[in-house]
Amino acid sequence: MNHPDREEFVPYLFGEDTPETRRRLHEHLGACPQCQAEVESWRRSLRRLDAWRTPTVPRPSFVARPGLSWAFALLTVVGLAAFLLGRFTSRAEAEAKLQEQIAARLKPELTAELRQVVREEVAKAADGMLATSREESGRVLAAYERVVNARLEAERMQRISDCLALKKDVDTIAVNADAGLRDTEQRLAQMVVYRRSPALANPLIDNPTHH
Amino acid sequence: MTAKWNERMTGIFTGLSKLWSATDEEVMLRVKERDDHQGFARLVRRWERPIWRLCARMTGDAHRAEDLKQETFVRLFEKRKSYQNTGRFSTYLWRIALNLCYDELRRQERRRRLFREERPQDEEDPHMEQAAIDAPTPDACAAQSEEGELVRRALFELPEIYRTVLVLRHYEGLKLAQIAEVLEIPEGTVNSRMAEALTRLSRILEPIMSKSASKLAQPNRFIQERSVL
Repeated sequence: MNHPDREEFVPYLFGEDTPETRRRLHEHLGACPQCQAEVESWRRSLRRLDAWRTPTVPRPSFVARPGLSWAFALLTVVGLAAFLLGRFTSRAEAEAKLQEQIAARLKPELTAELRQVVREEVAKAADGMLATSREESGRVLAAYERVVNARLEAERMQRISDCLALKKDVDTIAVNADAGLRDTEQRLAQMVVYRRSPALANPLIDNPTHH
Repeated sequence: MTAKWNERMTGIFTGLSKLWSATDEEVMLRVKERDDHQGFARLVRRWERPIWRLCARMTGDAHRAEDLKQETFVRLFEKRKSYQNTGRFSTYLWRIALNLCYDELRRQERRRRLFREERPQDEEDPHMEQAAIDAPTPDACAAQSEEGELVRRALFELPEIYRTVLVLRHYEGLKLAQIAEVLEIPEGTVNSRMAEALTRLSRILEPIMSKSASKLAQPNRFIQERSVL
């Protein structure tokens, strides 16, 4: 029996393969106990991975979430719920007519009032959420700023330390060079004295015309 | 208000709020071009928990994961000027976090080697060091069952390259193609690493899962050879 490469079963296992591939592999698994056993053992291992839970960190309640976008999200859900409720509620024809008449009379007033109320509520919610958001953003940024500044300071100190070390090395070289030069000077002076000494005068060198 | 209801409502509102909020890529571009601090804070709020989870799973240490999470965002901020909007923001962020996790794992490995060098007498009992390293962290003890601890140990028996694909797919829910983007490898390589990871994990877990809970105290008899990366 020709077995597919085991890597082919990975997208199959996670449901990320194409329908054609899925059909082919599914057929093979139906006829091959060996491949079936391997895929099943993979599934068991994946299920067991859920046993390792990380400590939970409390998440902020969704009502405390900052951002104007949350206010709009809330409005959308409320609007959708109201629409669905209105859409699927059944009522008698007479009731429907009566309600239409009432709605036609009250609609203009209610619309304006509702608009005003919604505007005020949204503005209030947005102000509150933005204030919270600004405060939280400030805290987060202050924390990161401290870390970044500490890093920059450390780098600055390192550079100063490196410059001081370099200066020390240069000073050492200068001192050594200076000592070397003096030493050379002394030796040259000694050589001159040595050369001028009468006991060492060489008539051939000092007075070539003598002979 | 139960935690589950809170979680569900937060998920619904997060999804709906995305209709009115900028994408991560747009926000990151504003951070890059205008040093938008509020935008950066928003990215941090959105991503700090998934990044913390990834670091906790990769290193097995929830406290260290907190440091690594902060380091991830510090690095993201420091490198904001070099951000290129050529792929998903999430891919870029996962990559930063993973690289920090790998560095941390190497530091842990170096500390282990140093421990071995400083205490050569413990070479007579190699299981002692292994047991100390494999001992659950205090929050591991508090947070999970015995089975969870067995799974944690089994995962840490796997070489990094196999553990990474498992964590990204199973715990973080990334698709195989996304994992390939994050790790900058072909999708075929992701599939073959995943197949090897699952095979090795099954070989480790199948026998020990049927044993009793008292086996936790003993050295792991099923340690496979360690791959040095």
